[in-house]
Amino acid sequence: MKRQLPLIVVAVTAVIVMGVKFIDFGDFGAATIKELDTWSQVTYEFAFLLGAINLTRLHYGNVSRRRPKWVYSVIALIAMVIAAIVTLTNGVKGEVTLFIVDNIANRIDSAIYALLGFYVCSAAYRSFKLKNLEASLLLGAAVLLMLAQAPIGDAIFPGISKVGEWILTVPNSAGMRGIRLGAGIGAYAASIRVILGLERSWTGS
Amino acid sequence: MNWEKLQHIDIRILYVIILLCLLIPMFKPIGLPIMISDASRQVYETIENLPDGSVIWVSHDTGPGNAPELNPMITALARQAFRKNCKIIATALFNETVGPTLVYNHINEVAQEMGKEYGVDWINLGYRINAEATMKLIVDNIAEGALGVDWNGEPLDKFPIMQEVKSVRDDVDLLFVTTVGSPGYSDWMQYVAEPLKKPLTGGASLTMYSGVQHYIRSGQLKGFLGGLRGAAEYELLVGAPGKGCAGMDAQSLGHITVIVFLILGNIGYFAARKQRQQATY
Amino acid sequence: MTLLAEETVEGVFIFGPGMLWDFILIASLFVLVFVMIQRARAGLPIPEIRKIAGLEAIDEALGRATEMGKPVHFSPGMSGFGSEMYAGLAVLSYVAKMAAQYDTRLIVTTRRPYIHPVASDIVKQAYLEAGRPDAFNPEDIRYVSEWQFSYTAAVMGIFQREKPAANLMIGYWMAEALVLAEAGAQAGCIQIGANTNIFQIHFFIVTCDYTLIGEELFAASAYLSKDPMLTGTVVAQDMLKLAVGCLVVIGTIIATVKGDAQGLIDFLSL
Repeated sequence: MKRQLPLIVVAVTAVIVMGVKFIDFGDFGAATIKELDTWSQVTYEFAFLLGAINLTRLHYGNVSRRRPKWVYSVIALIAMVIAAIVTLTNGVKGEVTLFIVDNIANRIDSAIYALLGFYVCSAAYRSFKLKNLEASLLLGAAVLLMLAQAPIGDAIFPGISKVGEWILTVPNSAGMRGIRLGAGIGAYAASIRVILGLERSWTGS
Repeated sequence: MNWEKLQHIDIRILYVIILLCLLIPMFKPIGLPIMISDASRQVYETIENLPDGSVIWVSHDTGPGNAPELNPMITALARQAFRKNCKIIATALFNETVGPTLVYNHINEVAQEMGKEYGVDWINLGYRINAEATMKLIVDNIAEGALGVDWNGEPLDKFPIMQEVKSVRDDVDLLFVTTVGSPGYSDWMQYVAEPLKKPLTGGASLTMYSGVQHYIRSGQLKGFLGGLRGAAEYELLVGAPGKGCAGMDAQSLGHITVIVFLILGNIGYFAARKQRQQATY
Repeated sequence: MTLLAEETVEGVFIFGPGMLWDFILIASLFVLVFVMIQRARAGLPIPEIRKIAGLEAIDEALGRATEMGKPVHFSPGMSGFGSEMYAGLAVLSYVAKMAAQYDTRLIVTTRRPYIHPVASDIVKQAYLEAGRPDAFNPEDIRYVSEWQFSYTAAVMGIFQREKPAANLMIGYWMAEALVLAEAGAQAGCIQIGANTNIFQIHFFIVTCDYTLIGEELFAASAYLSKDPMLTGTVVAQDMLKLAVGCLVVIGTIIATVKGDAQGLIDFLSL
């Protein structure tokens, strides 16, 4: 039953959602979706609690057993406790909460994102090799677009930005549309497998 | 010389060089000319062709990471819009913590410079949870979608602009949306622009830009700005070079550095391959 | 089709506005899947799925980790419960069974808190089935953070500290795709990536050793399980794709000949 129940919940919910989406039930349809959204939100909040417990257990274990680099776990635990206390006492939009979010969380977030700039370079340096025709095409397109996207490209090769624009709008669009179409229909089929209970590995079976 | 080593240069050297190439032009700009792309020109002309006094819905759907690419677009848009006496209704549906503040700061800076008043010429409705539901609600009732208050919690009734602008369907003339993910341009297109046949334009981070091309070609997007380059082009079209243009020299040097390292890496690769072949014979 | 959904005020028959063709599309897929299931049950031949290098490489990646005595890192992606997540979890199920058999440590990280208990259950069950329940370590199944880049930073930390021999990122990935894949490459992992996000897929192609592009992710569970019924659904999906492809060609011809295909668009927007 432990394995069957999730499958039943998924199938019943899917039938309800598809029913109210496809068939015009008027206000009843909208109210049903809203109700399901609320249930989903409540479940989500409970899951957060589970996540917090898991996180605490993991980091507490690291600290108590003095695992390598356990000091980072101390930082994680302190940050978690402070964030929880501040948010609960000061509110989600409270001044102190927003200060922490704006000046610590968002700054760290931006810094991690900014690594992208460096990692693009090292990934390109390591991977773009003229090994075969496909790799050469990839390399050629990358170099051309890098030049096209920066003013120096036009300064060295006048008109290269127009070539870059053409690559983006024609061959690139064609490829993207193909992947999108395939992935979209693939997602439909994957959902049907789950709804029909054919795909049940996520239940642990 | 052992050319093989060129494909194993310490990655930290590359990082330091990239950092310098990005930093130096910010202090000492080179001032390379910037070509304007068709897509950026289309954005500018779409807004320019609006009648004076039109209402533009601006959604700055960005997170903290991409903000430097997209913020200059909002500044330039505000400048072009206010110059035409257009009114702006702003939201930020992607990120609760940074979006509303960023959109406020960037529009407010231009508004103060051009003598435009908050609540009369523009308003910030900020972030609302569940973007899809919000978009569907504002189609016919902006106040309902915004839960009756602006981002500071002030009731919408007290703002003159909201007396004139009640729904997107009847009162908004154009949507300008910045995008880094979802919610983003595709949601605005699906729930608002297409059903209401409203023109939709804006800009995306460079990573996402390659994926919007077919919508530009199909006319579902009236042009779109691509990353910092797009922002710089738009700034030039608006006639107010700002942070977008300032970042272009850094981008140029950064790209050239990567290309140089690609060449070095490939020289190393071919040298190693040649040596392997010689060893085989 | 849904793009123009609300343009039509009245729906056709009992369907909501713009929902007729959505319904026909889904119903067709259901019918095709049903037919394929019946064929599979009757023992009739079902076309095989072509070789997918990224999925073949999973065994190689786990073998490498086992030989090196290092862990394997697996993540089912950044999305919530959706088709990509289910596909990712199906691959996790396979990977966990292999890891349990090989006695290889498996570290699973999740971004969504509600995915964590599901992932944990999948891995636990795999160890039970392998007859080694004592080898299951709940602390290796980790909920990390809801924040995109906090998750990224934490996983980068895992790469640096625990030096996994293999990194499997199977699901839906956004701006963190390159940061994680490059961090994995620098840590010396053999990497298999899968993504349906067209804005990020190229980063995996460049940085990962093997990449599942778009729909290949959705074929993973059928491919790995070799279950004829699941394979039948992939065949059904391909048949529908063919039909949609034909529609694209028809639309292109009409648009080329007539100048626009608005009539077809309106018809498909019913």
